[in-house]
Amino acid sequence: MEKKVKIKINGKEFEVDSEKSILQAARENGIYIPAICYSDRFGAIGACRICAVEIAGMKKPMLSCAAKVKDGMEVTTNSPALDQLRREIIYEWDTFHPLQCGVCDKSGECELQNINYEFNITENPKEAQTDPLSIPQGTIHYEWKIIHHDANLCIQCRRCVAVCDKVVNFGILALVKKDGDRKEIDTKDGKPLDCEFCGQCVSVCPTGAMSSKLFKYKARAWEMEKVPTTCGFCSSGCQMDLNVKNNEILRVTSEEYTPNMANLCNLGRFNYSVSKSDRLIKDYSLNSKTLNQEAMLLELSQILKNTPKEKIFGISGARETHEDNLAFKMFFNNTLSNNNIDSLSSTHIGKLYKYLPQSVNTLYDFSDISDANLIICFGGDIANEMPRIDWSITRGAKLLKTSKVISAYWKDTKIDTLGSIPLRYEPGRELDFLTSFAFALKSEGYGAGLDGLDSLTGSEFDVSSIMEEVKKASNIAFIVCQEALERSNGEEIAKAVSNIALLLKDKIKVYASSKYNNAFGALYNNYGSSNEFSIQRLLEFAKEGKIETLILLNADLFSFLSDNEAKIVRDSVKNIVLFDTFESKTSLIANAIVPVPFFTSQSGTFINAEGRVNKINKAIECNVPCAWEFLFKLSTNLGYNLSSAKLQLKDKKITLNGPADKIYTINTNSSVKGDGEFVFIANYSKFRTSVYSGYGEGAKLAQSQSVLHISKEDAQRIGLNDGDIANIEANGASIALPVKIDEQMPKSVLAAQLWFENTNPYNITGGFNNLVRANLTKAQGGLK
Amino acid sequence: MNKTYVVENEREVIVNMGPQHPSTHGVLRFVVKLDGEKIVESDPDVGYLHRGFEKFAENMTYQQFMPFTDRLDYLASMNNNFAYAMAVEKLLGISSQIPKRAEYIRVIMAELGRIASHLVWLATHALDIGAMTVFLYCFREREYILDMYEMACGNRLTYNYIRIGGVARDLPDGFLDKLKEFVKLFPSKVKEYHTLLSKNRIWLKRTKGIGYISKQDAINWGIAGPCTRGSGIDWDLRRDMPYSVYPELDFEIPVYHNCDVYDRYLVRMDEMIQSNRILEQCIEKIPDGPVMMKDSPYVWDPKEDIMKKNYALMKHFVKVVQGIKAPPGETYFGAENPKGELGFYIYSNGEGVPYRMKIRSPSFINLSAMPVMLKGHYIADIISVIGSLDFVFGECDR
Ligand code: SF4
Ligand code: SF4
Ligand code: SF4
Ligand code: FES
Repeated sequence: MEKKVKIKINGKEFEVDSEKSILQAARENGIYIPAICYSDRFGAIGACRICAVEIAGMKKPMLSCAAKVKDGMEVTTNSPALDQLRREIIYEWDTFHPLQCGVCDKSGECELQNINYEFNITENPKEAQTDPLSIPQGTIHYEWKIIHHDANLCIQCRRCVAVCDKVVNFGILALVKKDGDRKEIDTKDGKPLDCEFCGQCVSVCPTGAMSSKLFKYKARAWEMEKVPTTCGFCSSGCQMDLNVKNNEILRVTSEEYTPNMANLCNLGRFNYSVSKSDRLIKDYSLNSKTLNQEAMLLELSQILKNTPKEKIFGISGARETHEDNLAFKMFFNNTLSNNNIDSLSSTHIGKLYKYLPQSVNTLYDFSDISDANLIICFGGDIANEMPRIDWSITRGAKLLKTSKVISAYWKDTKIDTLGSIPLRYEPGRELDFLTSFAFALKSEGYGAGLDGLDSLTGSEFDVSSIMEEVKKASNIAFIVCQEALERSNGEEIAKAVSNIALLLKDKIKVYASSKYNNAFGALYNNYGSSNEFSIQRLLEFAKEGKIETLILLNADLFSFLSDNEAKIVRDSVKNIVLFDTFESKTSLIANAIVPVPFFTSQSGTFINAEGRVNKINKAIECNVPCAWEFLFKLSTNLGYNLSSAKLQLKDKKITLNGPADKIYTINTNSSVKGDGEFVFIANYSKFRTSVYSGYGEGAKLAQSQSVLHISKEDAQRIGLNDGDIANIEANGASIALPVKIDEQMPKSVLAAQLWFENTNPYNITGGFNNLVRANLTKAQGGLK
Repeated sequence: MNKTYVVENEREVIVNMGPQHPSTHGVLRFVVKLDGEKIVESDPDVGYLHRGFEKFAENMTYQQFMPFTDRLDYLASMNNNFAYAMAVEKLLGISSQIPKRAEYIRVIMAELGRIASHLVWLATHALDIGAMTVFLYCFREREYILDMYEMACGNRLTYNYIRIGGVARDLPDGFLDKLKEFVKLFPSKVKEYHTLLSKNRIWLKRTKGIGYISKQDAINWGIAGPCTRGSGIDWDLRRDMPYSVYPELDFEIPVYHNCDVYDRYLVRMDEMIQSNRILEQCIEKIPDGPVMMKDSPYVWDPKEDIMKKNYALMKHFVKVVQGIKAPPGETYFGAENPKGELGFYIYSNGEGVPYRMKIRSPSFINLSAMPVMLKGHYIADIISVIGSLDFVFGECDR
């Protein structure tokens, strides 16, 4: 595909890829061309004009970021004329720029400062001719949340517009006309910014025009130490730098050379204050008594000694580091000689990788998604689940324009704006789509020769549009969202996906999304395999009195069970031992609490959804040891020495074990439980990946409470307006939520987000399920 | 210093001297093997004042390192400032663009520094050998110089006055008058020192023929400055690898040939007179004009501009925060300091901080040649040899 062309830059000949721009070609060969508005993240904008170069035979200089290389092209990157041209651009910027570096947050890392330095500007003829009073005052958007925009500092490079549009695919920013012919960056509708609050616009802004309100006036750029680490909020595993001063994280940045290309979402970029939340657990405590570490170790070993070994159970929240998870597993397998453990990965991706054959279960890089020519996103709103997959899809479809997108879901989502082919099923009818798809594939001759092909049956669901694309595509990325796998029939969904993967074996790459940052690490440690106990059977085991002591490793019972179920567990288990960083509803009911450090305060590894082993580094001090250290000590107290040498992971990427190739028969019985007028779905907000992720400022400001999404029609019918409180009732329980009318919601469907403190949607769906039929009423007199 | 000494007969003893000893001029430790009172072998042990300056340099901007140079040879801080500034200027390729007035000021400061440094040398050298009066006289004159330094930059010990691209501020009113006074008076003072020492029998006994190092050895050991010129080597960087405005000035290089402590003494005595001559000429020749380069990407813009022009303010932030971006490459510059050749080797990879900096410290190199000078002399001579080498540990250990 790649064609090579020969070009000359400054008299030297180079052979470069014909798809490249002159700027890219020059950079690859170590030739410097100044450029302000261009970035590999979103491509050429052509706004700053500073990258202009001379091309032999052309009268006027050309923008090197936009012009493609051509065979035989002769480029000059520097000449007195170009220098003059560039200077004039800088003069223009300077003329309209206030004398504000002293108080500007960008100072010290500002590209406008840098370019002034680079060109050693010592005069400004343009300024001399301009009446300072004629320079209009730009708007300062004090009213926006989280993001601060000062139009006076803006050089109108439109990077923010490009990143919001081409990377985030949100597209809320634009250069809009203000009075006269003056233009300013603002929201398209002129309303206060209401967006994903990812801060990508802040990260690309060359000046201080877009800045973070949370960071404002906290520190100067050069005062902070940058500690590279991996984001600990979801399994995207973005690489980022914690900017630390005086043992406090003041902001988070990321560099363009990272696999995530400096992109971060709201949680990664703005939610660092979780690390200093006032709900951090600081002390060891047993039945509300504070103990020191030694006393705690003694007491715990006593409890464990007094419990018959087979009655001790453990659940990992799939959030702690790989080391902690492995130590937890070793502690059970070796010290307690049982395998009574499982992790929260088993509620979703665990199901998929249980069935997905080894031949198709490789974990691929996210960058491969952008290169795929067909991306199928199934079962959820990926933007809310894993932003990095969302960006990769956007990159492929919108920027590189190499990928077609199909979104199979019950709702229109952001990726549908990528010209995707929408496949809409009713919530709960995921299997209709999957089985029909598999059946259609079989009928087209895919997977010929596989055993059990005959057992595949389809439904009447129309998959013709997708089949057309599949036939054309040679490289398919298939993304399975957490929401689908978390359904009560998630296992059947997993089997159905496995069938499809197997049928398309030679051209499919399967990705699974998880909001648990180390879900793949927990999976890698073989939690829940080859034993009788699994997390889904927690209640059953508890009720039967099989569990006497339950050890939770950062697993908040209320984040995967209903309040009632959690209470049952509490009442039927004698001792609950909780290893956790933050206070939660579970910490209120646990007997013993062992504080463990937040990811910003420990070193170790997380494994992300690409299977990449990512390093985390300690950025701020806290006075408690990692979970694995504590577990090792505890084990020693119990008379067994665990070896820390085993904890180290040498591979850069992991592989998972999977079954042999097999076509599964699917039980397509509907999973929708209960009766009621509406289908209620508990799904995700992009601003939470756990309850404690809401303890930080960034997430809290972006979304403070769970809201009920409802279609306009339904809302009108019931007489609900935005902000009204509605009661949702199912399974004999009810929850109350503020209403948000959502144009994209289909009729008769309701959705609310998990892991907010105002409500627990599992109360009506029940644990290990996220969909139920429900009734809706308007709350009388509102809530409190 | 890892040597183990073997005592070969009962007359031999091993003596440890320092690191805390009144006449080692700082924290120098010496291990000497004696045969009776005669030195058989000796070994200096240094590093007690090591502060890691070269490593520091890799972590700060070029400008930020200037105050560190003050703390090398703290008896000649101005000269160190000067040498470092010139090394960086050479790296930046701006040596020829320094304003004339700044160059003259720098030379004035450097020559005053030479005199002040030699005065401390003479004072302590004589005191070590037992001549108390000289000490008092020398310090009296040095005070005069320190007063002038204080006028110019506010400090009496570490000056941080010379800048990359010029000097921090112009000479204050009255400075040149004070200098004139000094220059007129000083030769008579040197005469006084001569009367006290040059024909003094004790002085002669303790210095003549002591601490011998041949011309060839001096070259081989790489020693520099007055020490080499006392061994008959006619070499002075100010004349032989000229820099700044030295080519415009007329001065002589004193050279003596007996290779001993006494001749090194004479060299320095003459050098003070020569420095005084240079100062005289400077007073005559110093032009008016700016004392700092302007509009260069490597120097600060004037404060007035920074406060008024946004481009100046922007550039200032880059220069201060990220550091001036020296062109990639390496450079070495050595200056004739009171103690010998002080050299800075700087390797830049184009960033705001040096990739590597190495300091050639004359104290360190001169000191390494001590065992050669001591062999066969008496233990008491160590004191006079130390004095004649005139080293300072801030510079030796860096
Ligand atoms: S945006 Fe840059 S140039 Fe403008 S005030 Fe801020 S730091 Fe200075
Ligand atoms: S925060 Fe993100 S979504 Fe909001 S305007 Fe900036 S780039 Fe767009
Ligand atoms: S706000 Fe920043 S990124 Fe956006 S156009 Fe202005 S300078 Fe460029
Ligand atoms: S980089 Fe090409 S126009 Fe801005």
